[in-house]
Amino acid sequence: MSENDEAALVERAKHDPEAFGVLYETHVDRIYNYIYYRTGSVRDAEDLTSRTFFRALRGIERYQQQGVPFSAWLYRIAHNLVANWHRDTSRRKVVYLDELSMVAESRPGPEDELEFIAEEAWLQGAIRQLDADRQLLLTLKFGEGLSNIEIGRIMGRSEGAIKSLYHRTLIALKKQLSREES
Amino acid sequence: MVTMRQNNSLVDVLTMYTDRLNEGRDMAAEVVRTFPEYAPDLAALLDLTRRLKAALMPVKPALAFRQALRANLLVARHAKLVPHITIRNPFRRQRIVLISAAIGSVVSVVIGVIAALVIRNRTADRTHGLPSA
Repeated sequence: MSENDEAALVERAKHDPEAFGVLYETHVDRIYNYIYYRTGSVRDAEDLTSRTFFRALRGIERYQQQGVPFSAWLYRIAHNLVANWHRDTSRRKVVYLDELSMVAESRPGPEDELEFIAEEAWLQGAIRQLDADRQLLLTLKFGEGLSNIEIGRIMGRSEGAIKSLYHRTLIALKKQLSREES
Repeated sequence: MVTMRQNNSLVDVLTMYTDRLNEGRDMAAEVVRTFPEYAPDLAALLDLTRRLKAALMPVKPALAFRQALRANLLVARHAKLVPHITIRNPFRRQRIVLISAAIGSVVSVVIGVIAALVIRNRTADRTHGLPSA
C-alpha cells in the first residue's frame, strides 16, 4: 500500500468501520509479532494486541497525518501498553509449556527440538532485557525485514542513526550473552 | 582498539550482511574474507546476527483470535458511531427540571423561615405591650 493510499484509508477509517477493519488486517500481524517478542507470551500478546487496536479505535478520529507510516502510531500505542504491562506485572520467568509446543510446531527445526527451543528462548530473554528502542529495532529488522531507512521513518530517526543504533545493539547483546554464557 | 573509521565501515558491513540475510542469502564467509581486518569482531557479530534472525522469526496470531478481535472491533466501531447521529443529550431536559425543582424547594424553605421569624417577632412585641398587674 502506498503512502497516499494509506493516508486516504486512515481518513476513511475515522468514519467508516469497514475501512478501520482494513487497517486492522494490514497491521495486526506486525503489532502482534512486536508484542509477542516484548512479552514472551502468546496470552499476553493477544491481550495487549486487543488493547492496542481498541485504543487505536478510540483515538483514530484525533489521528493526524504527520508524514510517517500509520504503523508508527500503532507501535507507539503498543509500546506504551507493554511498558505499563511490565510495570504492573512482577518479573516472572514462567514459560507456558503449551505455548512452547505451539512455537515448536510452527518451525521446521533441527532434530533436537528441545535444544533449539531452549536456545531461542534464552536469546529472546536476553533481547527482552534490552531497552524498548533496541527491541523495536530488532523486531522491525528481523521480524519485518525492513531497511534502515524504513525503520528510521517508523522510529523517527535518520538512516545513519538507525545504522549506528543497530551496531551498538549487536555489541551490547554480544557482551550480555558472553556474560551469561560465562 | 577499533578506530572510528573502522567502526563506520564495520557498521556498513553489518547492515549489508543483515539486509542480504533478510533476503535469504547468508554471505558470512564472503564478508569475513572481504574484510579480514575486522575478522575477530566480525565473525562473532555475524554469528549473532544469524542467531537473532532465527530467534525473531515472525509469529502470527492464531486465526480464531484474529477473526474474533476484528469482529469485536467492528461491533465497537459501529456502536461508537451511533450516538453521533441520534440524540445529542437525552438527559438535558430532565436535568433542567431537576435543578428548577431544587431551586424552588430552597426558595420555599427560605420564605417559610422568614415568615416564621416575622410572626415570632410580632408575638414578642404584643407581649411587651401588656400593662403590669
